[in-house]
Amino acid sequence: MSSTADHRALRIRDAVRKATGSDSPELSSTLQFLELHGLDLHQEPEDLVLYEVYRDETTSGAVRTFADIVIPGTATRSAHPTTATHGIHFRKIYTPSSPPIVRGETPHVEFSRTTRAVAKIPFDLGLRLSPLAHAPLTYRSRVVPGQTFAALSPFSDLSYEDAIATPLLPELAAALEQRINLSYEAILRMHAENVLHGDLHLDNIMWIADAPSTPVQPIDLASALFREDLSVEEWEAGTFDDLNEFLREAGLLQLNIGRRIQGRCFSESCRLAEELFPAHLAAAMAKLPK
Amino acid sequence: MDVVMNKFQTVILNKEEGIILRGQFPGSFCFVPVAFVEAKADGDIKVHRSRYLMSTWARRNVRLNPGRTIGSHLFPEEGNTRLSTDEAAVRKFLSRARTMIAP
Repeated sequence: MSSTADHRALRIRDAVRKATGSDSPELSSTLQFLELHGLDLHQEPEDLVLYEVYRDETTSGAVRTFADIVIPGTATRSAHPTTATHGIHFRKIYTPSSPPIVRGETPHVEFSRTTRAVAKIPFDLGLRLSPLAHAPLTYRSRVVPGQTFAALSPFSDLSYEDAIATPLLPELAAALEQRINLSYEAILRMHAENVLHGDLHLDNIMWIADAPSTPVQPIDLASALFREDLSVEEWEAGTFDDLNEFLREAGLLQLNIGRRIQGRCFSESCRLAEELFPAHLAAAMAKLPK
Repeated sequence: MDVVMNKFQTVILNKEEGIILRGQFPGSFCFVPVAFVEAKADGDIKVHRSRYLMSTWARRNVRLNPGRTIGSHLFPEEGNTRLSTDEAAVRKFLSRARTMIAP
């Protein structure tokens, strides 16, 4: 982002803080304000990056993929009229070295698969995923107002041993248990509609804190697969691939608190412990008291 | 790093020394280890973003601001916004952070 754009974004971020009533408004009021008024705040040709939400960088600092919440510039609104209907949107930019591009999951593929999946999966799981536009290295959709499961997990970036040993306040353990349960059930509901996510790591489930009735939102359906296109074996392998990171998270939580937790995901993680964990941890899970 | 430590009030979190900056999203705060911060001649501060991203603090700061940010990473607002631990909102952020991760 150029220095001029930096200053413009700073100015608009400050204006949003003031306009939404306090320096610390709820996220939903910030987003509602921007969806309504974003276009009035920016009239330049280029998109204005308002908030940075994802970066995939190599250890050498090269950015492979990045995603931002932008106010679309006039050029984007003109080229993709669907973007002129919302004051802000989610914009993901790939480079030729982005892993999805290397796998052939271009923005065009993501747009097509997301559109197809959203038509099949339960309404609440597709509600916020509306694709808006795509170009050879750019994908645009509505903003999903949540935080990724991975970012919220106290076990992220820890080894198994450190995750099991990390001190967890009871309320944090309870919140993680709820996120695991509801995410797992959401994935099963996708499967019941014959759709596999296809790339379901913990950064591809969002938790929307201020939507208590529908807090789980799978995102990034570029790898989605459909039962009618797969063999029975491919479908069964795919369902396990979709679920296994949540099963591991469920296993780590039970090992951390030293007892079994009731619920489908938690009992499955005990049943499948030998497939999910090294032998010593699978053995420890087998010994967990109820 | 010495210049930063002289100019800004530092705090310890998860056994790391850092400063608190405003996050890009309203009402959010970032803990940034001093090793990733540089004081510029004009008094502004510069965050070494790649090192911050690689350090896991970009993710961890999302967790420390529940419901206030979007996505998987939180980046600090750059410029001259220097936050003191005397501010109530910063104290609240630090207090919550210390209960969520090791002090």
